Amino acid sequence: MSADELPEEEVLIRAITDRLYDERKGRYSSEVFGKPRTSVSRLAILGYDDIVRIFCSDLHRPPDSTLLGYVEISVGALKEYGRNFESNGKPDRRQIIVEAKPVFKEIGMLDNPAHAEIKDGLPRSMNKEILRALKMTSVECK
Amino acid sequence: MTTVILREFPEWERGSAVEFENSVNGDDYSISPIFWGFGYKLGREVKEVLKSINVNDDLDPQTTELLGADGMARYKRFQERSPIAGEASMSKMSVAVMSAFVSRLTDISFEPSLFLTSSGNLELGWEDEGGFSVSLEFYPDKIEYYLEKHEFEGEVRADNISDIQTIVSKLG
Repeated sequence: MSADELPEEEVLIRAITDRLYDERKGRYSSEVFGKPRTSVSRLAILGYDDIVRIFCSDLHRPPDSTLLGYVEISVGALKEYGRNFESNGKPDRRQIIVEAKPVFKEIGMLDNPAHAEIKDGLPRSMNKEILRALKMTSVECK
Repeated sequence: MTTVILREFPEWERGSAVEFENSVNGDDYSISPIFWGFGYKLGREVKEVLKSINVNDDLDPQTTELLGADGMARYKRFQERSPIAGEASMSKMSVAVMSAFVSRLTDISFEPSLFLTSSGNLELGWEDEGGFSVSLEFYPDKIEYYLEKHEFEGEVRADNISDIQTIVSKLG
C-alpha cells in the first residue's frame, strides 16, 4: 500500500454535473466512476460545505456545466465492489485503489487539499451497480 | 446541412483510406486532420457503416427521432458548451460514429439518455423492456458497450460491421 493510498474507512464524495446525469430520466453516465483518475474529495480532510464550495467554484459554470449534486461512498465499499466483481459471468476480482491527490495552485481551480483520485476506471457494469445503490444529494450553487 | 460521403482509396500502407467528398455541390471539402486520422484507420466496410456524416453537427433524422426533444436539448447544450478544466469539446467523430450506429437500429422506440464524457465522446444509456441497462460510448474509432441483460461488456471497432450488428441484434 503506497503512502498516498487511502484506507477503507475514508468516505469520498463525487461531484455530479449535468454532463453525467440526465435529470429528466434519472440516469447516470458510465463515466461517474468509469474513467481512470476519477476525481473525488475526502470528507476526512474537508467538510461537506467546504467541498461543495470548491465543486461550485470549479464545476458550476452555467450554461456550460451545471453542478447538480454529489454521491457519497466509502473507500471500503468501493474495494468491496472490486472484490466481488464478476465480468461477463465470471469472477474478475479488481483491486480498487484511491490515492490522495491534493490540488494546489492549479490554474482556474480552487485549491482542494481533500482531492483524491480513483486510480483505474471502473467497468461499466460495476459503475451501474454502485450508482443504483447511491442516492445523489442535490446542491444549489449560489 | 452539408453531407459528405466516403470514397475508398487504393490500398495505402497499413490499410485503405477514405476520402471525404462533398456530395451536395461537388466542391472540395476541407477535411480536418481528425477526419483524415479516422479515415486512415478505417477499412473497406466503413463505406457501408458511415454512409453519410453531417459535418456541421446536425444530426440525421433517425438519431434526432431517437434522442427526442430532451435528448436533442442535451445534444445542443453539449455542442455549444465550452469545456471546463480537463475536459474536451464534443467530438465530431463521436457524433458520426453514434449516427452510424443508430442508423442500423430497426427499433428506435426507446428513450435513451445522452451524456458527454470528459474525452468528448457521446454516450447513450437506457433500460430495455426487461429493465436491464444498456450503455454505449462512441469513441472516434470504437464503441464501448455494456449489455446488462447479457451480462456482457466490451468494445468493437467502429468500422467492424459484423461486430456492430452483433450488438444491434442483442438489443432486440
